[in-house]
Order: sequence, then structure tokens, then C-alpha cells
Amino acid sequence: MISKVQNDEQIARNIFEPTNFRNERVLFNAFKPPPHSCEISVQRLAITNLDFCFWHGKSHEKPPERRFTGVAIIDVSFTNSYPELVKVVASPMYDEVLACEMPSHADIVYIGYVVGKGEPAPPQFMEVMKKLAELANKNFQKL
Amino acid sequence: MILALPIFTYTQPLITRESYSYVQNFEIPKIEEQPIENLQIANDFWELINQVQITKISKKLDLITSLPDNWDGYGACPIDIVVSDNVKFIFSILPTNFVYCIKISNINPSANGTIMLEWNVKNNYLLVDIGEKYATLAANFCDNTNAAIDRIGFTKKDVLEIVENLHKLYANEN
Repeated sequence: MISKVQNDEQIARNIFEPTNFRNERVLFNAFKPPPHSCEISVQRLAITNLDFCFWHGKSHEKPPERRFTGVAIIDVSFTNSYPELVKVVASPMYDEVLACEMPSHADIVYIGYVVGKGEPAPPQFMEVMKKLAELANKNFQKL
Repeated sequence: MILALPIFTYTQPLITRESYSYVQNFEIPKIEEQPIENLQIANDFWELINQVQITKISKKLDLITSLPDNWDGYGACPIDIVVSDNVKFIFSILPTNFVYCIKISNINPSANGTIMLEWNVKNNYLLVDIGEKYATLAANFCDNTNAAIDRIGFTKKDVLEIVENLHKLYANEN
């Protein structure tokens, strides 16, 4: 279960305002990877729970530029619509801020798209990010 | 003869039977019948609205370019001033109504140092991701067609491609 993310699982992404959340809405820029990466971090709700996500998010906030707002919950099955563009893979890691192992950590991986600094996203990946934001807004658990 | 209408405040203009009748029978002249001065007033109005919006956009861009390293907590990089200048260039080319239509909350930084713009009409959208050297565009229109442009340069000719797609987004509004 830990090694492979199942299609019927749910994943949670921490959302911070003001840059990723405005006017009670998760913005699609919340799903763009940082430079030299092709993935964004999420938590698997099959392994952990919302309380941990809230604790994790709160511990990573840095007001005023980054206030933890809540958690966006997304069904992994969304990847079925974009099988050649995106997948979710398990990636357990050690969290230095919390000083604990996170077996629940996973990544949304954009296939074949390594983000360069200052390079805009290809249109097909922008569509995926927009879809992720739509799903995030449908199931957003505010702090 | 003075019409007995209540006067709510002392600044309320006095309404005579003649002026009341004039208001009732007033017809809005067609555009071509508008005196030149009225059109000038309309143009000035839009110019003013545009200036207000441009000021708001500039302030937002200043905020975006002042973000520190790792502003999203996931390793985001700061936004280069070149990217902000590219956004300003695009807005300088866009027709006033499209500048006015964008919500300031839909101008946002992205984790890899670009600035993302978003126009929404009901469930349809037009997204533009602006980088240091070029921009990209993705759109979904209400007739179920899509647009995808993977390289928009920062010349007037290239930016007109965005304008064309914005026209399509808003043309389908009704």
C-alpha cells in the first residue's frame, strides 16, 4: 500500500495564502512545481489524516507571505483523464521542520515536463493545473 | 407651478413639472447621434477606468516582484523584474476592455518565477503564463473548443494572438 498509490485514493495539498488562495478560491498556480522539478508535494489520506495535514501545513507557514489556509483534497482518479501528462507516485520522506518521517508523502508528477526557471508552462500542463485547481475548490477543507 | 415632491436633502435639485416630464420622455440618443463632446466624455471615462486598473495591476506586480525566496514553502524562486516588465508590455497592447476585465486576484506568481494571468467567463477560461523570454496560452471556450499556443513572443504581433483568443472567450459570453 505504501509503495504504490492506488487509483481510488485521495491526496491532500497544503494551500497557503495570499499567493495560492484568494477570494475564497484555490488558484491554479498552487499546482506548478518549483524550478528544476516536475513534481508537487501531497499527502496520501489513505496513510495519514486531515489532522496531520493541518499540523504539517501550519508548521510550514511563514506569515505574512505564507499563511496556511487549508487543505485541498483531490481524488487520484483525476489522472485517468490525463494518463500521458500526470501521475501520482509515493515518495516517503523525512520532514526536517517536523523532524519526523512522512510515509504518507507523495508527489503529483508532470510527465516529461521539468520546469525551468522563468519558463512558462506548456499549454497542456496549464490545463492540468487548472483542472487540479477546479477539483481543489470542490473539496477544500479550510483551517 | 412647483410639483409637490418631498425634498430628501437640501441638496436635492428642485423638480418642476417640465423637468419631470422631460425625464419621463427622455430617449437615449443613438451612438451616431451623440454629440462629439459626449463621446469624448465616454472615452475619457474609459481612459480613467483603465488608468485605475493599470495602477492596481502595477501595485500587484510590485508585490509579486518583492516576494522572497521560497515564498510558497515548496522552494519557489523570486519573480524577476523582466517577467513583470513582460506582463506590463502585454497589458500595454491589450484593448482597454480586456485590461479592465481581468481580476487583480487572477494575476499571480508561479513557483518557477513566471506570472500567470487568468480570464474567466462562466466555466470557460483563458490562461496565460508569462516567462522571461516568452509566454504560453491555454484556453477553453464555451463551444467546447480549445486554444493552445506554446510560444508567444513579446512583440505587438505576437500579443495580438492573445487578443484574438480573448475576443473568442468573450464573444461566446452569451
